[in-house]
Amino acid sequence: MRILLKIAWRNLWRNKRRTWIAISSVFFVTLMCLLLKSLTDGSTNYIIDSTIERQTGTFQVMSSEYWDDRTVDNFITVDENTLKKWEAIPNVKRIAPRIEAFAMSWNGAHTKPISLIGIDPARESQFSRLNTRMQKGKFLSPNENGIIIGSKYAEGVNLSVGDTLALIGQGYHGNSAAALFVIKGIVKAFDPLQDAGCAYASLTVAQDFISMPEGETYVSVVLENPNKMDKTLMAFKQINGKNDWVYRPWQELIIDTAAGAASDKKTMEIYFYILYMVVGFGLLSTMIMLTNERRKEFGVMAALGMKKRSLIEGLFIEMFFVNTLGLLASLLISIPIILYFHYFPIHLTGAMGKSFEDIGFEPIVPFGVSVNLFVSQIAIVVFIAVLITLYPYLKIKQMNIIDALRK
Amino acid sequence: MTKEEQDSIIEINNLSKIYQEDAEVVKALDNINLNINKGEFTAVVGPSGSGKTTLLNMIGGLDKPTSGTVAVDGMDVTKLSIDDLINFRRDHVGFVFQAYNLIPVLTAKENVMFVMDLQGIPTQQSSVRAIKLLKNVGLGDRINARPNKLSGGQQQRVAVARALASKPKFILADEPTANLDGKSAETLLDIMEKMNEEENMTFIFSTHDPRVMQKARRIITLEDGKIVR
Repeated sequence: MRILLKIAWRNLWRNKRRTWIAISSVFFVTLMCLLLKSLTDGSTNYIIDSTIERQTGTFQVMSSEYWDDRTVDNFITVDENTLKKWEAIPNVKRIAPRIEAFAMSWNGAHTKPISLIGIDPARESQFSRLNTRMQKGKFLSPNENGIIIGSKYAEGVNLSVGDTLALIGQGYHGNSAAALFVIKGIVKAFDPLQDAGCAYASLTVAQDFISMPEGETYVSVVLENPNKMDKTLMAFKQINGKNDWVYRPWQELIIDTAAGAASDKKTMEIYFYILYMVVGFGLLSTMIMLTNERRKEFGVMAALGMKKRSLIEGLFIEMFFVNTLGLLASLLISIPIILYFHYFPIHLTGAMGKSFEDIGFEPIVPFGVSVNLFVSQIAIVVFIAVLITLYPYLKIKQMNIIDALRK
Repeated sequence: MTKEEQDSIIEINNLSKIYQEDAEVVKALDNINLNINKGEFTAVVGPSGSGKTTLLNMIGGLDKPTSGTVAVDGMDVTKLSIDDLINFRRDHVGFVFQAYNLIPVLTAKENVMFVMDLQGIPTQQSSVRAIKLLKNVGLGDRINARPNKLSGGQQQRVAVARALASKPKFILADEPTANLDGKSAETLLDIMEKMNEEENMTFIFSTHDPRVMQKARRIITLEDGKIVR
């Protein structure tokens, strides 16, 4: 093996220009792929994480019927004592119980369907920080008898703080729900669609409106470490003892966002594969050249007693050196760049920045850092080296020593 | 067993090699019978295309005959598997090629050590032997030179040292002086003759060179694939 390494290393520098071109091609493609993949992973993960952190939670606890039939009839009752016990579970970061009901709003001039969301003001301030998104008026207090409405909705139906809004809808088990609410504030909801048609009330006010017993349609839970979700769920189940509740993970809650992110990543991967194919063909042409140039040398070494397998190993080592040098150089350059933009993300300005702010996200694009990011690139480069060595493998396997010596 | 049979290192019986070139059948070797004894200094001569190189390739296990046998120390080389042939060449045959064929990225010493590395001899041991062999061929001061820094004659002397490195049973030299000037050829032949006399090493040459023929103690003449003398 030592002699193979020695020969491979020295052969690398027989044609310096060719070697540098090969190393450079690996370097540039790997660098570009690392940076782009880090950017894609970082930005999509940021959007997903932010959505989980401030809106949906890592999972939601709900009745087994609620997902398919989203009416207030399918509620769960989680008392304050249980909520506190859940909050005390080590991996739990934040909890927000919510009620979602639908009603028709009327203010004398306009009628519009809206979503009435019952919240625990104190917990919601911790969870979604909805209180920081107030545009006018004040945020809800626990037993506040008023509501706050979405800013686009307020603009659309020309409502402001202090106005009265009538809500009419179907309550618990077919009861009719109707009440007048004073608008205490105007808030910019996270989701633009929701902002155009939502009102928030405290949990007790929402329960009274729809005549439902004490309860919630779901409870959102954010975990410190989502990877330990299974263990955390065991603790949840032990506390509540209910078997007919389901714990729906974020992947199901934001299925469109997750699918969109996955699709973006796949599209980007196709570009990466095309880039790798380009560099792969470049390396293959190098391998074809050097295999043919050294045919006589292979013949001599085989005549002297070197096994054909060792000759192929020698070429693989040579290709491995080229790829490793290119890869190492790209890692050396990319790691500081990735780490820098991971800890000091790019700040978006202008329309792009505003669109991020509108949906409640900080206008930043952080680069993603993960072991998988680097491992996948290393695996691809090694795979290319193996694939390219197929050419000399076939050539050397078929090599006739006498013909090679005559060259 | 006669004395001659006891000393015989290579026994060739009814050896033929036939090539099919398009519609034409070429008999490169035609029913060759030959014995070579240990310590012989033999030249195989004949015009181009007479089968000299083909005969050496058969003896060295580089090519398979159409029929017949080549036995080295009683072992039929023609029946060996591919892996056994590789080991046979590595352990029992020393090759000297017309174009030297040193490995260009290795120094003179490393070229000599190459076969010993393949044999698995420890580096320190092979290094000592390589230096000794290079000194024997008069290149003690060029052990770290790469082939491109050596003259043709020096490269061929490294090739001889390389051929001797594995302690082979015999050395096959295909036109070893063809690319050398008179003085280099003379030096090389003197070295090989000395190895033959001092270490009883068997040398088999293919050659056109009258200087080699002059030094040879046995001359085998081939014509159209047959031994004529």
